[in-house]
Amino acid sequence: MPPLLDNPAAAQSYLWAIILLPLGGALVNGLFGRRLGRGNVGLIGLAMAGGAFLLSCIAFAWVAGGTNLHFVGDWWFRVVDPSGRAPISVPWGLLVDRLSGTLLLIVTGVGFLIHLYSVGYMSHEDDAGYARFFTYLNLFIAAMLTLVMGDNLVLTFVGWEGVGLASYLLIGFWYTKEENAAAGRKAFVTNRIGDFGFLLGLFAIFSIFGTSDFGQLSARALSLQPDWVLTSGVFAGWTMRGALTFATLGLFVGAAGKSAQIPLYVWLPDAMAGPTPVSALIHAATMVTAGVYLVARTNFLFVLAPTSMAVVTIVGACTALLAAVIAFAQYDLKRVLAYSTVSQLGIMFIGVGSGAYAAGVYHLMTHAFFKACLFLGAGSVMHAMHDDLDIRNMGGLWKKMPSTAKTFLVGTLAITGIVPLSGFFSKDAILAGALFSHNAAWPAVGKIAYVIGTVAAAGTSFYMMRAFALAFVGAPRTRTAEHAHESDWTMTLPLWVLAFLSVVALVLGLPAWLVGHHYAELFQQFTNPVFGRAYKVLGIEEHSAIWPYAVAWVVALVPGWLSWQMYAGSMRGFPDRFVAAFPGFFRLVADKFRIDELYEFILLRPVRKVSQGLFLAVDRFTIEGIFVNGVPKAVYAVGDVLRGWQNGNLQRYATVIAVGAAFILWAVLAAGGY
Amino acid sequence: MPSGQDIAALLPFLLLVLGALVLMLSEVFLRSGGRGYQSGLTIAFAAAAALAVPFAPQQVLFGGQAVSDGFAGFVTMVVCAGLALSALLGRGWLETRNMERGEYYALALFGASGMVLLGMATDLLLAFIAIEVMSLAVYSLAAYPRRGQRPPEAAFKYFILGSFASAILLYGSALYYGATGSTLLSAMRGGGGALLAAGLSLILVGLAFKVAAVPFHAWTPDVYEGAPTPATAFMAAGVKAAAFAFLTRGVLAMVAGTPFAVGNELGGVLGLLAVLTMVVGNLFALPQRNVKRMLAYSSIAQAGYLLVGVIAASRPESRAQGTSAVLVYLAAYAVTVIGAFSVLAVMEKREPTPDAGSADAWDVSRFAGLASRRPWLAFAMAIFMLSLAGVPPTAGFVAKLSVFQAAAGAKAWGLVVVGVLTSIMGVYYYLRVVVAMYMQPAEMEEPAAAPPTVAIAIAVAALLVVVVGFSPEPLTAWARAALLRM
Repeated sequence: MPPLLDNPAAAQSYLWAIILLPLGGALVNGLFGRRLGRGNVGLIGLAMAGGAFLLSCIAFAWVAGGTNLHFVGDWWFRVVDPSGRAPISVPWGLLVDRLSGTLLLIVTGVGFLIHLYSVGYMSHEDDAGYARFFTYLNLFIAAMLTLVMGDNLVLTFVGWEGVGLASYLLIGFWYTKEENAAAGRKAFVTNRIGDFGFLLGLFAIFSIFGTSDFGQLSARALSLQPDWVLTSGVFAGWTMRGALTFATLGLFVGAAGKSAQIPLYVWLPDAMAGPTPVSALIHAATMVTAGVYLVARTNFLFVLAPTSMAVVTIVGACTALLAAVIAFAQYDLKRVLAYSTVSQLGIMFIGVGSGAYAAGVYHLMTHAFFKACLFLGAGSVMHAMHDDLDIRNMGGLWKKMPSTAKTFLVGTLAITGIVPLSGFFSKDAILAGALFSHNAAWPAVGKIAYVIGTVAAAGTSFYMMRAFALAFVGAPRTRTAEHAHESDWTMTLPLWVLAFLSVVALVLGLPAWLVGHHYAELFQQFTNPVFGRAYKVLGIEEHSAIWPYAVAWVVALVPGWLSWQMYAGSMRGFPDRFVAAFPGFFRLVADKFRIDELYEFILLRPVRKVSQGLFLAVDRFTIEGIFVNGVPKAVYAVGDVLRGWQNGNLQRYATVIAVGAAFILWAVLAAGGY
Repeated sequence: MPSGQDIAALLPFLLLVLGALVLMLSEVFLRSGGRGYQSGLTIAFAAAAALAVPFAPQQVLFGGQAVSDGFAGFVTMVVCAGLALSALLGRGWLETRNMERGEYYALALFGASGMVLLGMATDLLLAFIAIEVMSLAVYSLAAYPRRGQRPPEAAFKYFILGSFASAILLYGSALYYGATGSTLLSAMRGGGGALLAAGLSLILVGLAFKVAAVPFHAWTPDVYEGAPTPATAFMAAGVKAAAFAFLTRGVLAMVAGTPFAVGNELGGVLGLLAVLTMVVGNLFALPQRNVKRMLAYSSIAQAGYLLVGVIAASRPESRAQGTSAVLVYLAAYAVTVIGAFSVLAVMEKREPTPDAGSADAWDVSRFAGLASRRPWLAFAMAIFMLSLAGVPPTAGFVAKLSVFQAAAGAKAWGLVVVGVLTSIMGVYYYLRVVVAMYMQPAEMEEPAAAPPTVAIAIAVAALLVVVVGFSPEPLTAWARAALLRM
């Protein structure tokens, strides 16, 4: 047996390799990619992602066996105060427990499949672009793994920024098109707003606890009383609950930015400008779920701040509904999927906000499978349709692209939550968890979220079936659709794998009344070591109600059936009549409630005005006028005076020295009173 | 008769002197024209001296005139590293100009031995001898190429002004002796009054000249520019380290011993010098387009930041922090500045005489477009510039952070504010080089390839700068440990 499998200490010491492999791949491809040739570039990218996946499997095996892997790192940096204590010290430590281990497998596993898919998908790029793409993709994997595995918030933040960078680079991958570059900027700036919240939360946590290490934080958080009053630090005079509410709300602002929640969700739909594998990996399966992960990771802090949990829940619910409604009126296949991602992330936040942590992360996992499958399917369609993504121009692709169509159907059914696919169990677990949760700050929030979430789920079922029916069923509506053809095996293989995973992931979330206690809620049982104490704090008990499942089933089936009838069956024509009857409302929805325009009006325009003013006052006048032009002038003027001294003349230099010495003598003696 | 212990404690110094003698003799017995081994020999002696440091017992030497402690060991290491790197640089630079001779390395080794001795000195007389050993060697190094007008002029200026400063230092020492009856630094405990205050002031002036603090800096730009680039690099790294080491020791002895008033006044003067040095050094560097001269002014500015560290070391509440900050700064600056001068040495115009093209031999426009033609060289230069500017993740950032942190610990907020503001000013002229390399089209002819030894020096320096930037803990821990054995 290699020591890696034999000895947890050895396995721990290999944790960094999981990050360094893709990072190395990014370095090699970034520096030499152009000269290596595309075959080697793809091979390096794939091999690094695959290697990371294998090592992750080993790490996961340890975690599944009950041993957490914790690499205790050396100090990265520390801030030492005058007394020699280090109030802030940040190590290079990595932690793989059952939560991060799960994420690890998702990131490297789905990541590997998408690398494979990209080999085919990006084949139209020139060599430089191809190398650039795999560089960014590997960089993303490395950053995401840092985010997931970091054993402290600072390292998580490093990864957080890293994935933001990779996402920015990849959204604007075809940066020569202005709108793509603009989409990249929009994502970056919106995320910066969120990051500001993250930093506030991070600093607040440092101030409260003096550490950002997850292990220490959880130990201290669970031993403290929420009513304690802090005596020192920034929050002196606050109660623990108040300070933690501030800190966790800060973290949630960060999470809302990264995971596209109200009000920061606007960047994600535009992010679809990036290559489709990127949309699948970063903007559906992994990066956008980082916010959910962050809330789940810091569960021990959130459970002490019920107000924050209520905010998380209600923001998640509202986002889920809003995005689902907008998705009704979109015709761009990737945009439909993007809004559905926003909506599903909202559902996940309902879960982690109402204390159903395992359910939230379970949905994160199933969503990663089926949403990646759907996006890659959309990419495959995009290839076949020569980059046309308007579902009105498709139709009849079922016969032309059997693999894509079948896997897309699996994904659709899974996200809709039709029994027996995985989405049903994960989504239902969240909604049921919200329904039976108790929030001390706002007791009704769980029930409200349940109702809103159920409506959003009904909407999901409708628009997903609409998209599927319009794209794949019926007769081809354009010549391109008629001549569409199936994609290469490197693209269809990941589709089938992901579709398969979307189905089998259900075994992790079967309810007790169906399979008995031993096999029930396997994922819940699996993550109990991470979340168990939080459940105890929240007083969450197991429920065994069956009726929520029945409701969920109806909610999934009826709108889906209606949608099918309207877009592929006997009720065809109804949508057009509906649009004709309420044109104003439809336009409003199709324009995404004009939220972008609203932001433009209330935020961007004033900001632009102010910055224009500041530009004139600060940049033109102060910086350019005084510093850039004024300072050199002043310096040159001073220089002219001083040049008399700095003229290479030896006697002059000696005089300066003598005068200086005399001045010092005088200063010391006179001021000293001698 | 020195005991075996004494010799072991002096071993680093003795090895450097021995090396100098061997190198001088090597020129006598030289048969063929091959001089390639001379730089190797120099590096070997530097390495041997550095290796001897951990084995040197902590010991008071020469009846209290010197001490081999952790502080001295740290300074020795920095000097040896500077010597080895500048020998690598010197090899490539001299060889391509057909000027390689054993004297060059012998002088460098003599200079280094003076520096090491200065790091150990706890007595004004010994310190004076050490300063002279160091300075005479460095004057000669500045004049080394002999051809052309610039090197001799630079060396002559340096020599005259240096002698002037030495005289002031010596006069201060005489007054000190008059006040205390001894030349030992520890004798301050016994004395007081105007005589001691005057003596200490003049000693401070002499040292301020050596560290190039404003207004005793005027020689620096002319000398740095005129001296051959490898010698400039050695000067910037080594002389600064040794002089600051003795200055710190003196200040520590002063606050431990003198009547409070004198220490206070001298502390005020030090603060004034620090502010002047930071402001003037940066202001003068700002309009410089000549990179070599810019680096000279930058070295003045860096002396200002080091003085901030020395001031922090003089306050009881931040003594340890300030002293270790000075050490960290010296190490970081030495490596960075040698790296920067090494790149400059590759880039400078290679006329038969360095002065033929005068100022435009080092004009910033020579760096234009370097990133596309020599990406690694440009990358290394960018690292050095960012380190000098104090941008993370580089050694320069670590150094600046620890100095300012120490000053904040001493509640010297004014110094911190001036330091940070002038550092921002510094970013402007350091980045000018980076901007030229990365954002401007190439104008000049293709730069010649770096000789392999110079490339090694650049790579090692860049690597050290980045490694310390990412993981400063070993260096700072070492500096703290050095203080414990002091």
